[in-house]
Formats: sequence, C-alpha cells, structure tokens
Amino acid sequence: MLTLIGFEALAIAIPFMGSSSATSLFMSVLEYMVLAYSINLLTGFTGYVDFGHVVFFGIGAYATAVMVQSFHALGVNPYVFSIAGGLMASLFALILGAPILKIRGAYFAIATLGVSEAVSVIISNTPALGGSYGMPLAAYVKYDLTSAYLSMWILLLAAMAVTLYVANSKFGYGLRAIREDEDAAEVMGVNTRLYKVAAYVLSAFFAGVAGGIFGIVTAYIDTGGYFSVSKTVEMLVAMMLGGYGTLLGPLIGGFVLSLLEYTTVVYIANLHLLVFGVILILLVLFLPEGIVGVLRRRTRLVG
Amino acid sequence: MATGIILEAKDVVKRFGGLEALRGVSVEVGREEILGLVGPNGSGKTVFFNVVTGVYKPEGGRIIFKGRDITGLPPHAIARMGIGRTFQVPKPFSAMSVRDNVMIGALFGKHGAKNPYEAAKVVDEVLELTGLAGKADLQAGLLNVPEKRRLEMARALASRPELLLLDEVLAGLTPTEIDEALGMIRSFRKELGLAVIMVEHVMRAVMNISDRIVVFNAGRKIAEGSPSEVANDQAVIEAYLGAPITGGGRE
Repeated sequence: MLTLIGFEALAIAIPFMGSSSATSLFMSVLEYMVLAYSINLLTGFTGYVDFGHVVFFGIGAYATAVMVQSFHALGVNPYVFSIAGGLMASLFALILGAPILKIRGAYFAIATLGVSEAVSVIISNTPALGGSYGMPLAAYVKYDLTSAYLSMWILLLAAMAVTLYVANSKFGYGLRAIREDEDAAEVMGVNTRLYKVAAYVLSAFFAGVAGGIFGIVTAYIDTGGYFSVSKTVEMLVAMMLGGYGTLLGPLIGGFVLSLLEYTTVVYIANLHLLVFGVILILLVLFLPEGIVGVLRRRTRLVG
Repeated sequence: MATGIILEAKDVVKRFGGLEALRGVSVEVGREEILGLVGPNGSGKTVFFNVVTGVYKPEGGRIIFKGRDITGLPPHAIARMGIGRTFQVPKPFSAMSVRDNVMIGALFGKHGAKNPYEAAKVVDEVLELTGLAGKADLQAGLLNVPEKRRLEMARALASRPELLLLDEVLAGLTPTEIDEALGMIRSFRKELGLAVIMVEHVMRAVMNISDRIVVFNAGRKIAEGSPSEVANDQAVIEAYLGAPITGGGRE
C-alpha cells in the first residue's frame, strides 16, 4: 500500500518535471486504468460482458466536443466540459439499458457491439458532427497537458472511490448476486432490472468523461479513433488481467497492460492487438480471477 | 391451531402453450402452519411455487398474501413482502462465500438491512441456526449437496420471511440428514414463527412433519387433509399407484 502511495505521488508529479513524453505515456496509463474501472463497474460486478463499452467513450468525446465548440467563448477550462460528456454517456446508458440488459450472455455482448458500431456509423453520417472527417477542436482549446493529466487523476480517484463504495455496499452485493445467478437474485429480493441499469449508467459516466478529456487533449476526434472495437477489447483485457469485480484489479491491470502496449507497439507496431488477444485467451483459461485473484489467494490481503 | 390465513391461492391457472400445468388450484396456508405439498412428478408443485413467488404470471386466479393481492408482482417485490423460497436444484452464488450468500438474503429480504454491517447480526444467527457457521468463509460452490440445501434454507431464512417455500430440500439426503433437516424446519417455525409449504417426495418425512397435506395430480388438487386422511384417500392412492382393476375381467 505504501509503495502504491509513493508511486501515485511520483506519478502526479510527472507533468511538473517537464517531460512531456513521460506525461503522455502516463496519460495512456491513466486512460487504461479509468476505462478498466468503468467497464469493471458493469462487467466486473454483474458479469454482463459489454463488447460495445467504447460507445460511451465516443459519445462522451463527441458531447464534450460539441460543448467546447458552443461554449469556448466563456473562457472556462475546457476540461470542465468533459463532465457533460460523462452525463451524456450516462443518459445514453439509461435509455439503452432497460431493453439491452434483458439480453443475457453472448447475445448481450453481440448486441452491445452492434449498438456501438451503429452509433459510430450514425455519427460519421451526421454533418453537424463533422461526418466522416471528424471534429477538429484546435481552434477552441489550447494545448494543456497538465490540465488533462490532472483531470484524468481526479477521474481515476473518483472511479476508485465509487468502486470502493460499490464493493462494500448493498448495491454491490446485489450486483454480484446477479453475476452469480440472476434468477436466484431476483427471487431473493434483488431488483435486478434496476440494479443492472444503475450499474450501466454509472459505468458509462466514467468512460464518457475519459472520452471527453481525450477529445480535448488530442484536439481532434473522429469515429475511427473514438468508437474502435479494439478499445473495448483493451478495457476488457485490462479488467480481466487485474481481476474483475475487485477494487485494485483495474488499477493493476490497466498499469500492466498500458506498459505492455507501450513496449509492444514500439517493437511490433500494430501487432499489439494480437498480443492482447493471446493474453485474453490465456487469462480466461489459466487466470480467470486475474492478478488480484492470485495475490488474494497468496496473501488474503489485497482488496 | 393457525391464527388466520397467511396465503390464499384461488383458482390458479397456469398454461405453457397447450399444456395446462395448473388447472385452477386453490390452496390456503395458515400462519405457523407446515403444509406438505405432494403429488407425482409433473403434477404442478414447482410451477405452483413459481406462480406464488412471481416467477410465472398465472393466466387465471389470484394469489393473496397477508390479505394483499400479489398476483403479477415481480419476484423481488414478493420476496420483500416476506415470502422466501429454496430451489429444487440448489442455486448457490457459487463464487461467493457462504456468509455472503446468506448476506444477500439479509440485505434484500423483508427487513432488508441498509448495509452489510447492519445485516451481520442476522447472518450470524442464521448461520448458527442452520449449522453452517463453521463453513462461513468457504466458497459456496465447494459445499456438498446436503450443505448446499442447508445454504438454500439459510439464505431464505436470512430474508426473514413469514412464509417459506421449500422445494424438495430433503432430496438426496440420508435418513439421518433428513431427521436433522426436519428438526431444523420445526425449529424455524417455533423460533421464527413462520409458515412453511414443503414440496417433498420423501413420504415418511412429509407425513411426519406436516400439519396438513395437499395433493396435486396433473395440475389439479385431488385431496387435502391431515396426513392420515390423505394417506387413505382413494384418489391419492390411484394417482400414485394407478386405478384398481375393477369388474374382475381380464380383457
């Protein structure tokens, strides 16, 4: 725990030490962690494997971009608008949740994948949102990596706090019961429909804010980058690698996986997804509880 | 003996396509009564449980619990009103500990606690009562069959029900284990004051523990009464053993 705090203190200090390449590497580490926490709130706790989770990242990015375009004249820090991105993602989850969460298992995974692809196609055919060209934001925001970095930290800490709360609350017990046996949970008094939608809305928020922050820092968004299936796979692998449904799993998984991506991209560009695929298969076969699961069995300490 | 009716099922009809699983059955259960529900396989006993707990919506009839019509309410709402049940095939939350399984009952049942800390006392009590205290930290999936059945009862009890539906909790148990389980069920009534409906195939046990027995056959109630009345009922004997050969002929 102490090493973790030490690491975090060091990591927070990074942008102030003036190395922008280290900062952008850590941006990507933080992105992985936050997205892993986001998908963990749904998939980790309820067992509903969301293969289209990137849709919330994308919607968050687009909603934030529209806000930035419309309200940049106010002069507030543009990263504030990423909260609107999160809210828009949550609203979408709220509307979509009731019908789509009736579908179980592999069918749910396919349905969510379909939704995210559909939203992507709709946006790339909407001229008001830049169509297939995307939305450039450089005219409205100035390059400010430090703000982006701090926003991501705040978001990560918020995601961790929410996960900690959920893990120990009645809500979390209900979600885990759904993961284990939804029919038994319902008969035992868990309002399964309400709980699933609530988890969906909550998890969408974090992915949405993350999308907004990344949209601003890259100053350009398009559907190719912000609705890519591979991003969903990255979230899932990060969560699985760390340990699903746990407090520290997404942190550890996100950290390990982002460094792994960093190294593999350098050496075998574009093949990193192949590596991720292999990791996912190996995890499911040999390490279904992830790194936290192994540590827990060894020490019975890690949350 | 009973101080009023706790559950009243009136003319319940449940169809699955062309199959009429329940053809207008009426069953009453008194407070603190142990009612045995027996019948050949496929006679509609488990379907009846599923209708009472809201898993199936009946095509006809009403379910009245404590004077309130609960027909068509979702299962979680019915559970919170005070009806607990076990499953014929145990459905433990396998990856969770025994304690956490029971915790779900305590959190979401009738007096649903607000958080796990508040629920801890009830959980400890129930674990003690069902003899699972020593296994509290074990993963539920690792329990053996009799233990899984006890866990089913423990989870249901932790929800503090007023009516407990037990679906073949004695199946596959040895005679000693059956006696233990019967003792446990009696103590639930005595200590917690609850009414019980038991679906059961182990006749010796049902006859022994039930205040009253209802017999289903092919979706209808064919007999009702004290254990000895039911055991000597002609319709019941026919349902189980077939009709006697009448007319003396050997066509």
